[in-house]
Amino acid sequence: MDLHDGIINNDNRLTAVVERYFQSCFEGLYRYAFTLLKNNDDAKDAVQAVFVKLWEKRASIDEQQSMQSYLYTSVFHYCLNVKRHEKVRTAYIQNHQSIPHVFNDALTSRENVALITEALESLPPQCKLIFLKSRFEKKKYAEIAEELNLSVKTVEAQIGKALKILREKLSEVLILLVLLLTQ
Amino acid sequence: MNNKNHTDVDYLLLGRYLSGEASPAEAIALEEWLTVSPANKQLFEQISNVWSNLASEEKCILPDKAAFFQQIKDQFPQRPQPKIYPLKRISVVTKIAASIVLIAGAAFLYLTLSKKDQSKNTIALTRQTQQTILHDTLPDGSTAIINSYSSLRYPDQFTNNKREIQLNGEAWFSVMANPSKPFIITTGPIHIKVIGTSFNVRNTNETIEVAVKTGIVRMLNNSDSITVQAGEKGIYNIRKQLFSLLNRYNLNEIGYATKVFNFENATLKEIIDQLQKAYDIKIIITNKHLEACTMSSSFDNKSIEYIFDVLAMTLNIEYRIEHKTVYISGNSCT
Repeated sequence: MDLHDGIINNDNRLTAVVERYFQSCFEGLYRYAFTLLKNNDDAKDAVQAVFVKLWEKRASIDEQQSMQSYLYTSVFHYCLNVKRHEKVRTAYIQNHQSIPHVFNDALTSRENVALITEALESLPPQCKLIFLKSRFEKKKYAEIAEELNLSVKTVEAQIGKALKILREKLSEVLILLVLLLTQ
Repeated sequence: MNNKNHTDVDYLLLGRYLSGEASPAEAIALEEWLTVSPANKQLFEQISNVWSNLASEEKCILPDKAAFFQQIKDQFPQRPQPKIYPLKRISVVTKIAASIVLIAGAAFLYLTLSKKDQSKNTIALTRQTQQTILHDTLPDGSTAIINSYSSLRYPDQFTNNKREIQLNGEAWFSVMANPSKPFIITTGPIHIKVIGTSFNVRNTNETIEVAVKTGIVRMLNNSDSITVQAGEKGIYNIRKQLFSLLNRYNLNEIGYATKVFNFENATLKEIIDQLQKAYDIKIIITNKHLEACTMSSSFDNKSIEYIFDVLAMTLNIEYRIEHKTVYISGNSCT
C-alpha cells in the first residue's frame, strides 16, 4: 500500500511541479511565442502544446536542470514548425496584398499618428528603409540583409537604432498611447 | 520619463525580440531584464505598443492565467497513473449497513428510472444516408457525420441519464462532454461508451472498428470490454467475439469526416477516392494513365480548390471545377 500511496503522492507532486513552471514562465513564453508567430491564437496553442508535452514527461523531469531553457527552446521549435507549414500555405495563396494601412488602432488619435509619422520620417534614410522593411513588409533580418546587400549585423543594428530614436522622439506620445491602450 | 533605471537598454535585443528573431536564450535574457525593474517593464510596454501600432497587426494579449491553465490541464492526456485505494478494515456491521443502503438505492433508482422511461414520450428519429454524407446534430449538441449507406437512430431528446443511439454502417462522432450522462452507441452486438470525445465507428458486419481522435472510448460486449485512447483503434471481430487494439491508425480512414488527409506515396486514384467522399464531389480523370501517378502531401481541412492547386502543381496536371464535378486532364505526371 505504501508503494502505491507513494506513486500517487509523487504524481500529485509532479503535477504541482508542472503547474509551478507554468505560473513562473507562462507570461514570458506566451510573449515569446507571440513575437515568433504574431498571432494570439497560435501563441496560445504553442504554450499549450509545450505544457501538455511537459506534463506527459512529468515523470522524467529533472528538477536540477534549467527547465526555463527547456521550455523556451520547446516554444521556439514548435513555432518554427508552425511557420514552416505556414510558408507552404502562403506560397500557394500568393495574394499580393496592397501595403497595409499604417495605423489601424482606433485609439490612436490623429495627432499621435502625425507625431509617429514625423518620428518615422526623421529616421536616417537607411535606418528608416530597414525599419520599414522589417515592420511593414514583415521581412526577416536575413531577407533584408540579402536584399540590401548588407550583413545581418547591420540590419540588427539599424533596427535597434530605429527603436531607440523612436522611443526618444515619442516618449510623450508613448505615455499617452500606453494610457489609452491599457484602459 | 524616468530614465535612471534603464540606462542599459539593449535596443538590439529589443529589436530582435519584437521582430521575432530572438533565440530562446535571448528571450530568456529579455524576460530577466524585464524583471530587473518596473521601469524596464514600462519601457518595454511602450515600445511594443508603438511596435504593434505601426503595422496593422494583432497586439499581444496575454490570456487569463488561471483560465488558460485550466484549459491546458483539460488537455492533459487522461491516462492517469494507476490509482489504487487501500482497503481499510471495515466492521461487519458497517458492511451490512452499506449493503442495505446499496440495495435500497439500486431498487429506488431502478423504480424511478423505469417509471421515467414510461412517462416520457420520445420520438425515435432515423437518419439514413445513400451515396452522400450527412452532417447531423444530435439532441445534446453532439455532432455526427454519417458516411454513405449508413444509418443512425436516436430519440428526439435524451431524457434518461444516458444518451443512447444506434448505428448501422459508419459515422464520425464529436460528443459534447457530459460526465453525468454517458453517450452510448449500440452497433451490432457491442456498445461503445464515451463521455466527451471525437471518434469514428465503422461496422462492416464482420468487424466493428472504433478509431479515436480525442479522449477515451470504451467498447463493450456482454462479457468483455476494452478501452481505446486517442490515436488508437479498437477492433471487434463479430464472429469470434474478440476485441483487439491497434496503437495507431491511418488518419485518411476518417478523412471523409475530418477532412484531414496524409497521403504518402498515394496514387492519384486513391487520393481521388478519398476526396470524392469527403467533399461530396465527382472527380473525372480524362486520361486514365494519370490514375497511377503517386504523390505525398498532407491536407488539414483545406478547400477543394487548394487541394487541387497542390495536386496540379505537384503532378503537372490541369483541373477545372464545374459545379460539383472536377475534371482532371494532363499528359503524364513526370
